Amino acid sequence: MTRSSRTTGPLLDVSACLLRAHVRSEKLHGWAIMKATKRSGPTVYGVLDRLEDRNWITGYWEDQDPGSSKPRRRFYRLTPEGLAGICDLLAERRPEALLEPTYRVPGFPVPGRRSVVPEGAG
Amino acid sequence: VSLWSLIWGVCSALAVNECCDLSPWAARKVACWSARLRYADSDRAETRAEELAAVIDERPGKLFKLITALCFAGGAIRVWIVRAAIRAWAARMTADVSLVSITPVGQVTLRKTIAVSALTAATAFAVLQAMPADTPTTSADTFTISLHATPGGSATGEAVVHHTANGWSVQLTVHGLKSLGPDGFYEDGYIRPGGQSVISAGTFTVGESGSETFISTSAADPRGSAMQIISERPGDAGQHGEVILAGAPALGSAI
Repeated sequence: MTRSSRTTGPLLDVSACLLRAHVRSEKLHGWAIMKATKRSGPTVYGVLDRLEDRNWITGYWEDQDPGSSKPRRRFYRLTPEGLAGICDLLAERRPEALLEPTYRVPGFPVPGRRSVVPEGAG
Repeated sequence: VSLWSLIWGVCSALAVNECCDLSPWAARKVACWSARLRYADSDRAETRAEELAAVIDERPGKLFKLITALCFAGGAIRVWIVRAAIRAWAARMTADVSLVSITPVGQVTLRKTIAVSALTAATAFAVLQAMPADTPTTSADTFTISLHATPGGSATGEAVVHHTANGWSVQLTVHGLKSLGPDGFYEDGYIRPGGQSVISAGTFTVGESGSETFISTSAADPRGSAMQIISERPGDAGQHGEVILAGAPALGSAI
């Protein structure tokens, strides 16, 4: 996200949510983000649009039985560029979010913290 | 309990039950419609339509599904209105008045674009308002147009327009214009009533003094039009530059 882009509360919330899912290797879809961030649907999808436009996240459809009549869910994951960008963004604007124990992102040590590694990776 | 009260109670319960059963279906429809309304990109719209249907499906509660879908619809309508307004501004600025350019696309943010559009629109509006409503000019063959600087400028000018056998001769006198360098130049043109088109009447440059007088001939009939002087700089190819001077024939200006 460039400096000219607006850094809003919902953007930080969704970013933190995506990062949390990334380090926990969780699958994250729109409704899960809405629940986790307690933000409305249009707000969350507005942020997802921005992140997708920046190539910070990428979406993929869930595997579904061919006979299923339910609409497919779309999951989101961070791209390498998005991971770096979100870590930088949160470190600058919401550093406390990176202090959560679950945020153990390789290569992005939090200032004042020990070096971090992904859970289960070492 | 009267018979009518009993019937009313049963019918109401049935109606509420039907509405509750209907609301998830309606919610999915509204969510899909919202996605298609919100996104101009058809691929993204279709992706989001299915995705929002899945969100509605996940949302617990029949009426909550509908409420969530209505939230999506509200957001989509807001985005659609903003997009339509921007499109209208852009159409007016580029197709009708052709006053906007100034900075190559991609180097300005949307807010700056809107601000520039608003400023130029205000300028064009002021020029057009200065023109009388119907036939904003004289039918005479010779008349003058006083040119005034747009906001922030200090240049002045006057055009004496004369109809000749070869077309319309324009004697343009300007003061206070900046020299635009070896590659820059000024262009004078006419804006038709309603701001529907801009017709070029010629180009010129000025020296360091900023004051010059030129005579040019144009086939375009300037009667009923406002005049504008715009600056063209290298890199403005294909676009109109910044409006420096603008004016309209004043009633009674016939010579």
